[in-house]
Amino acid sequence: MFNRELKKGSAELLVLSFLEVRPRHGYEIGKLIELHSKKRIQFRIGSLYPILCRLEQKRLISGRWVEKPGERRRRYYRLTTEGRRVLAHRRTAWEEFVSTVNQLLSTSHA
Amino acid sequence: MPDWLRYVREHLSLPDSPAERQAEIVEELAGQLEDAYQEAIRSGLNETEARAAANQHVADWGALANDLRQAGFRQSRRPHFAPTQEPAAAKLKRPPLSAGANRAAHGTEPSAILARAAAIVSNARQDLRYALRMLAKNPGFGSMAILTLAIGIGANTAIFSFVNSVLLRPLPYPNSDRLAIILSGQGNASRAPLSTFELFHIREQTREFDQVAGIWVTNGTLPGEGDAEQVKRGVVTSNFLPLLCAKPALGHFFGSEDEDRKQSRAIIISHGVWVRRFGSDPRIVGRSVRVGQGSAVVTGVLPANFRLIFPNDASVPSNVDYFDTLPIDASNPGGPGFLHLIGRLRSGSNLARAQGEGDAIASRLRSLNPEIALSNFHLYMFSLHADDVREVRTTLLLLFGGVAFVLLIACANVANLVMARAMHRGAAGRFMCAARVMHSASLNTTPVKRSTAGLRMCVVGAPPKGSETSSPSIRTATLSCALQRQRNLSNEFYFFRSLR
Repeated sequence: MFNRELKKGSAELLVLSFLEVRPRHGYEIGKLIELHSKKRIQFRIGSLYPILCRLEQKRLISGRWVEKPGERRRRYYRLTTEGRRVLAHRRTAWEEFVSTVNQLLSTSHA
Repeated sequence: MPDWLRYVREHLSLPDSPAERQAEIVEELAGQLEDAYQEAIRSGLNETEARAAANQHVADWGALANDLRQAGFRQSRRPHFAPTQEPAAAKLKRPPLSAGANRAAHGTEPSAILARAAAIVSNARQDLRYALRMLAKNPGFGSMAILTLAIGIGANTAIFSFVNSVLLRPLPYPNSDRLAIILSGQGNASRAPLSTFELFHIREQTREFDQVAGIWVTNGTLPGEGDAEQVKRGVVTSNFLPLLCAKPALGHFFGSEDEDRKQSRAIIISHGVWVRRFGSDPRIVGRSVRVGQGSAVVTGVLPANFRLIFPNDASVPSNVDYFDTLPIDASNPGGPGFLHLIGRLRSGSNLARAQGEGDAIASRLRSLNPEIALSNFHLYMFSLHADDVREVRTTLLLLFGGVAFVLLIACANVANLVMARAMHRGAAGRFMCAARVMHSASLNTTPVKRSTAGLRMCVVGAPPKGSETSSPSIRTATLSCALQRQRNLSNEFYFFRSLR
């Protein structure tokens, strides 16, 4: 498990990236993050749901209720055009940040 | 299984969020907790442990409420099955609005009206898109529903078009609702024409009619030069045509002096004769033309759309080629009855009063003519339109009622199919249905949505949102259980309403 602040700083980026390919519902996003991170990053419902609300409020994602045969309805979220643009921007920024931090960490400061 | 909706409602407090958004948040969180619970059950935990595992997903409800408050309460653009009315409890809690706010809230401000109109258009567009998508997903169901409704609607449209043109549309005459047909009853005949003597006395004595006119249609020879051709000739009183036609296309109608045969003979020709026989000659008015063995002066041309509408038994065809005037002989009480009379009721009068007056006139005519007194002479007044359609009216109304029932049955069938599909989702479907009634929709929203499924289907050809089901095919067993399930839904609805 990672530091809570690290997780918090990357949460929006993670959610946006998992919506890049196709719309997903909230619980599915949380489970996918958990699965792909091999349980090193986990979001509880109480943490993830406000992030979804915040992204929707910023119009980076949009949610809509969808019913599938034999299931209760679920709210699926998809990236908006603005969300796709912001994701690309944040992804680049994050990669640069991580690269810079890695570079700094690997440099001998002696 | 735990009642997650109730659980979330009991723990999450968002008093400052809109009621509809609050309902959505509760439903979505409850759904996610249920997912977590089901996953825990699948992983081998017992119900208590699974419930505890799900509960751990939201350790601090106050913090969650605070986070949601900071995130904002943006309403979803178009909830599929979300309520369109806030719950009654929320309405009760709402403080009274000021006059201006009240006006805005009820959408009477121009901007509010525009916003509502835009919302309606937007919703309609989304509904259409959704319906087309659902139709593509379930072509079998959609096609069957469309076909069922198309038969009902098509039959109704066809019959209504006919009923409208025959029964409902007024006659093409000025003030046609005041036109009456006047018939006589003599001996065994109850719909007999009248003589010029009787017409003269009716005209003289009536106070309920502005005008009374008569027509007799016989055969004549086509006026003008060229080959002789037998045509329909209307012999009319001078006021007959002004009674049915606002004005001629050319020239003028007959004057009262035209009823005097000592003057030169005058005729009014139909538009068809004017075109066919006189090449649409604009100088036809005032021209002397050959008619039979004599000649006559054309005083006018009727409009192209003019036609006569009389009951079938009156032997008055709709197209008469030319009209000339009838001299009124008031001196012969025993003259032949051949005239079909129509009258225009004076403003403020009605058929009942006209009939009363007609009885009095008939009584006086009996005293003037011993012959008709013996035959129990009477006058009868009927609305021209009602009399014209009297033979087909009952049949048409019965037919219209019949096809209305066909449409009703079609709608009921489609509604049952939609209901059966919705209920076919099983326990989850019933649970969500009841939950929506309790939790998000107003008390009457869900049944109304269910019952309007057929209507929506006829517009967009797919079931309404909230009625999707698992199977594209319609199972026989499902159909046979449709009524039972519909009753189950009603029971659930009233049960949950009582709980509420």
